[in-house]
Amino acid sequence: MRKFKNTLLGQARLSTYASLVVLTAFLTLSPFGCSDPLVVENPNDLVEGDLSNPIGANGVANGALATVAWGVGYVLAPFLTATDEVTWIGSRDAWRELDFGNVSFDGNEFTDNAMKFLHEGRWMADKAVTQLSEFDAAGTLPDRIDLARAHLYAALARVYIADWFDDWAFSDKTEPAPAVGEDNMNTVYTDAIAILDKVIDIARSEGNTDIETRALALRARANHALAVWGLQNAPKGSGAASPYVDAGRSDAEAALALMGDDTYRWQLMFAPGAEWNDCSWQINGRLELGIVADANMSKPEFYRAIMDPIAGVEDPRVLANIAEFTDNARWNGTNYAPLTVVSAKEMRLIIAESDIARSAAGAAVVHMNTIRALDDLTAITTEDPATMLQHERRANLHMQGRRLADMYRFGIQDATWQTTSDAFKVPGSFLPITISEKMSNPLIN
Amino acid sequence: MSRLKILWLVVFGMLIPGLLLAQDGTIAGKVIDEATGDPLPGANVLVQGLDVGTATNVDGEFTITGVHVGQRSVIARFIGYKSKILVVDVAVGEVAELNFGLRETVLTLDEVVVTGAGVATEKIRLGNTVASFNTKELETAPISNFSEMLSARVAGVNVLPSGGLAGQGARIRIRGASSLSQSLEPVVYVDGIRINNGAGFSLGAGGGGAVSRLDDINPDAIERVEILKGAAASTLYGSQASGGIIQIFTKKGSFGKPRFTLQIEQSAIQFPDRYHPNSGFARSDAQAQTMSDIFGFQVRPYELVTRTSVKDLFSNGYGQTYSLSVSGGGSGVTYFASARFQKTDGPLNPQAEDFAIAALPDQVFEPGGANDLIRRGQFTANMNITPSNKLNIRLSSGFSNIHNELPENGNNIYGLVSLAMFGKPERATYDPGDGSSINNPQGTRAFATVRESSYQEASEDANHAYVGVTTNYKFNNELGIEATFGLDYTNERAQNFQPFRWNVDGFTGQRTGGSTNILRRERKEWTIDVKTNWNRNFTTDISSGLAVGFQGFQTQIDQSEGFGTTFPGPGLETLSATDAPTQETDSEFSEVINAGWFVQEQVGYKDYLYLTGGVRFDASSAFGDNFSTQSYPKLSVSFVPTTAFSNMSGSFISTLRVRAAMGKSGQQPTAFDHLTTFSPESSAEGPGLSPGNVGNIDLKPELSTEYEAGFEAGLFDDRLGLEFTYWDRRVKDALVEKQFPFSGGFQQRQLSNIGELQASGVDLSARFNALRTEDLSIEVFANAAYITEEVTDLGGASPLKSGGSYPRYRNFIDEGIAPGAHLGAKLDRSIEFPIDLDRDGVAESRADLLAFFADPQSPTAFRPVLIDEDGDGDLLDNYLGKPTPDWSGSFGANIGFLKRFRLSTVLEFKAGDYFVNNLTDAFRKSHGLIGRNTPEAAATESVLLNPASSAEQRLDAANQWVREFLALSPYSGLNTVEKADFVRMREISLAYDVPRNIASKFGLRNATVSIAGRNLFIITGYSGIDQEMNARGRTSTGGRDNNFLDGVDAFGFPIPRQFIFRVRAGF
Repeated sequence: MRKFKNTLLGQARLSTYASLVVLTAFLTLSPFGCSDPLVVENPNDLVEGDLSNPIGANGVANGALATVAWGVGYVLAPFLTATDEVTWIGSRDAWRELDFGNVSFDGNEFTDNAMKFLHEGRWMADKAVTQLSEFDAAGTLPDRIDLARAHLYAALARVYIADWFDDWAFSDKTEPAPAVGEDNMNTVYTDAIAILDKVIDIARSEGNTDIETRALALRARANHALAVWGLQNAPKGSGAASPYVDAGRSDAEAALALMGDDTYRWQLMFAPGAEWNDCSWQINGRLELGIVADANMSKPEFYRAIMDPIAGVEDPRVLANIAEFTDNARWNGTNYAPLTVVSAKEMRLIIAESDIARSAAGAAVVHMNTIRALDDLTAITTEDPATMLQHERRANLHMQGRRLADMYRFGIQDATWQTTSDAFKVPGSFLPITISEKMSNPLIN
Repeated sequence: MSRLKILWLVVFGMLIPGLLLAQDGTIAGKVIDEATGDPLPGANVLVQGLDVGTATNVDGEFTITGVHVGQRSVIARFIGYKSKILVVDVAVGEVAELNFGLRETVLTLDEVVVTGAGVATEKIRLGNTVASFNTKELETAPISNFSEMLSARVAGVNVLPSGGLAGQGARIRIRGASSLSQSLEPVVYVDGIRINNGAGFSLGAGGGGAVSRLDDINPDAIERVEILKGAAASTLYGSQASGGIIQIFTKKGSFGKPRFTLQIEQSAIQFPDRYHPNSGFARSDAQAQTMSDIFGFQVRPYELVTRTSVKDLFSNGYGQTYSLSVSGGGSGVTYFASARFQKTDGPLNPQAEDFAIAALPDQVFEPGGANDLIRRGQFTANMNITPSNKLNIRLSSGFSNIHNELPENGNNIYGLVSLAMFGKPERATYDPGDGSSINNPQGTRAFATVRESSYQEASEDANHAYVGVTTNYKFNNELGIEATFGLDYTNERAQNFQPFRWNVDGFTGQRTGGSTNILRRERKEWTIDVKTNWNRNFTTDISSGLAVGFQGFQTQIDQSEGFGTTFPGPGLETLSATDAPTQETDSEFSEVINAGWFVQEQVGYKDYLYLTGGVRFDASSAFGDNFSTQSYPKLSVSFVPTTAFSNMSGSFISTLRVRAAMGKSGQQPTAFDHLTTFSPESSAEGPGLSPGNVGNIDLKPELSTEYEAGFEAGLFDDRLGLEFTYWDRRVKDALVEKQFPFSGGFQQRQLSNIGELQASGVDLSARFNALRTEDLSIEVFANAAYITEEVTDLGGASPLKSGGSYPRYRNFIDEGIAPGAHLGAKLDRSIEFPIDLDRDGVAESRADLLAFFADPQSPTAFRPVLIDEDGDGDLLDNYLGKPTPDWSGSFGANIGFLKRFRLSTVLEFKAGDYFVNNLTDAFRKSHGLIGRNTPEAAATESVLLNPASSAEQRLDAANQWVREFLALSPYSGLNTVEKADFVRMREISLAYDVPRNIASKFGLRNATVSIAGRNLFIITGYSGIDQEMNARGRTSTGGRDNNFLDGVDAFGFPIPRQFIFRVRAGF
């Protein structure tokens, strides 16, 4: 102190410097004196730990539905563009590549972008299953129907994945997973079917026929699609002796019994402030895509009617679907048209196809005529039931994401497909694992 | 931290210095230009050792009271002049007269700077560079906002205008990109208060029209600007400083009676005519007849027709600025206040005749209200109170009110200009009165007619204010404390509006019942900055300067949004007037608190060697839970050989200073990046959640380490000044937006400290005072910056593309290339006919091609043969150049002649590996539905489709097609990215100073009349509209799009030419 005092500061000023130090310390530290000043609140989102609270279970299940719906709406747009149901009429020419039939290009911006949403939906649904199963096991789950719903959406995501993609990966957050492999995509269906078994068990134990109906119908659809997948991949492009499958019948019959009405549909609904149906936006809003059979689309030169082969009129089921899909006022905007997941009509078509595969054409005709009668269409009499099944599927499942598989198995080619395209050259080609997943997943080349 | 607590601190900080005043003698005199005898207003005069001083008034006069008696050394400083020290004897109660004649110098080593130096320090003592400029010399320059004031002034500081809409904000990049993910905009202070350096909303404007919040600052109030270019200089600013620091000092007035300055400015604004005319041809007689009916002249099939659909939308814009300021001061108080009104109505001005149809001469097609307009009211009030030689209190405040109107623009299918560019003459239609068609004279193919687009309006209103107080107290000659407290506040409202039945031509189907989207944002930034300094001479040769300080910042952003569609009728614009089921709302809040402490010691040996060392410690709420504090050290040395070795200074080398510096600074993640989050996501069955942020508890700031070394040399008696700086920067732990597998469920990229970014460069500047006499002075200057950048490590993350899945934006962040470089498809030009017919990637033979082209063919019927330079099977990752030029800079001259005339020019250039994605013309050349309408592309397509063409003609046309026109997906980048070097006449002005005797007859103190031009011409080989346009304009945040979606010319508005007439008068 003496040395300090004599050489640098001087005793008289020492108190000044001491005061200064105290003052500076006070000024700098006092704003943070009460609590940790560097902790701030984030009122915008939940953090991961919040999901472990059982009172949020319903929100987690709803999140599964919301994200799966987003994903389905997103992927449906590029998928439909590759079929004869929808065509490109706008400005972004990656749609044109899909229109040309180049479905396997992993760099297509729309396939690539859409894929991300379906991944998100699949993961969120699985997260909901895991989280709600833990609550269920611990006896803290407020409502077991939420658990059934979570399973239902996890299965739903898988059915669409298997329907639309040639390959997929099931990673978990930051942990990458390898691709399932094209030859193993049937396991995605079988996984979905196994999940639906649980849905049905829970629904029955809880006495919820609504969920049970949906699950049965979806399982019927999954079993049917699994059989179709077998046709497409035996091996891919080789074709099969018969394009008709006998699959999903028992579930379809059970579902039909619960539906009680041949107009029954389970639809994914969209709304402002909630999910967005990107396919609806591209068709009704941005006008990048047009429904080929829509005479009122903004580019009428692309219009091609779908005629009922017996009645000789534009098929009213297709027109009704178009009218519903493009009814922007009804859906409160251009982006919110609903998407049908399963319907009583589809159940009857599954049963009818089963009849055809079993060479019971008469029984098949009965189911198809039941459907046709709903729209006062002339009954099938002398027409080839198998050919009529192709049309009935086209008309009744219009824009539901089944068409490409049907085109392949029934040997139908879109007029816009280039002869050099994947769809033309290798029937059975679906959407690929896209470039963004390949670049971000070290286990996929 | 409560507001009350901060307020208490403010009050406390102002009151702490209880002091005793003392008065002794007075020093008074005048500071003039030694060569011309002109007074130098604003020069600083300081009594050395006592640290008391003042600034000269408008007549160059000064008075310093309260000077201790005795022999005193007094230094006079003025920017652009060499400082001078004179000795004077001060007696009790007497006024000692002291007059300075300063000599102009091109070096500014004596200039005192404060930014990044801890305390006010002469540049010569700092081993790092601190760029600065004074606005006095820019009074006649054609600049209307801060961005233009900064443009082309300083080597290595690039102001990127992005587009030419009225009020469109510019981006600022200092020494390239110092981060891969965080904002590259420098942090900006006004008088020590950190201010909003972000942007407006750019609502509905295609990403291009946002204003810069920096342009809210009243340019007339700015006195001086200091710039720290990188970590070597900005260490003391810590975790947000690696992008550079800009500090703006506003005027504080000087002693004397109130002095008013009135400035009136009128300007005309034009867009340059660089738009290719819309071209096409009729395919049939019927189509030709329709075209004839619409255009009013005879059209024949396959004959090229051109229309000026874009140019028609423009006329002369008009701008006006009025400003009035007052400054003055009395004993112990000076003040400055300014009010400025600016309005610019840009050249966009659609008229009914632009949509006229010859066959319908009696029908009037009124356009909508889309406009490009900016209106600013700006106010500044500053007061400088000096109760004693020991205490100084400075109050700073500014307020701006901004109104901005924009059309739909940019890469936007509903954009006014983009729709006009999409038009093809042969697609023009009109309604003959029977409703069989629609009126679409521009021939837009999709989305909306041009006229319909003009009915869409976007507007933004903002109030932006800052207020701060800086209290400086000197305990004695050695010890002082300074405290700054401030608040910057911004309140913004933006609206995008489509009126009821805006589909006036019956074409668009988009939200025809109208829509409105309203955003509001409130942003508050609090500043607390306290530092003490202790300056002392250990011996007569060794001096010491110790600075210790603390900085704290709190930033809060509260944002909400509402959207709805379908009004019940015309005239409604509010959100509540929309149909309730269509309404959507959103809100978001973020808060970041930063705290930093620093200590710095500077040791000087005599007056030619200075060593500085320091360290900054930072903590932030944005750091991850596993990370607490980041430290940033700095070290620099400055040596003046010409002072150390007096025999070295001669007629050739007058002054030489060499310097070297090393420093670190950082860039912290944004508010909630470290958290794993789930975001609200409503479903049809109720509210739900979706995956948000992956989260990273180890998140910390990225660390930028910069070395720089260089020299300043004054040659020929300091008439030629040279400045050279070499710098090298490495950013470690760079925050990379790592994409985990999408199949893992999280779409959002997660910031991770896994990258490394390397850059180096050279900053050069030269200023030559070639001639200076009373009648003629000539000064020429040039500055240039060279930069090379490379991403050296992405830590295993996949390459990052800007623009998401949109394939036409080709900017990538990948190892081994400059961040943001263009990657894309490249044609195999070594082949005579690089044309593929069967998608096998191999060129067909000439014979096969001739057979194919025996019939008319669409351009979509064949494909190009592409190359794969790196052989990885990806045809879209070939290097196509980068959007950041190797070289950038400016040059020009300031010439004074006939005593009262001044001619000033500034030309800006960019050159080197400088490539721009000309996406506008890629569409216009190649796109089958909304393009192929440039004259050349349309003519080539005509040959391909014309049945009268021969196979050879079609083959040649196809070859030309793949070599020049074919672009877009799936060949993104092909024939699109092109060299963009340019030299642009940025500024030119001619000013006339009215003789004082004439001015005084009108009661004026002085008057200047000037004419000026801005962006009058460009010299370039670039074929697009304007390479300085960019798809992404000014933004508030970082991210790979905002940072690196650069060099993309996509349907924007070019940088306009401005012709300005200005009168400036003092009274």
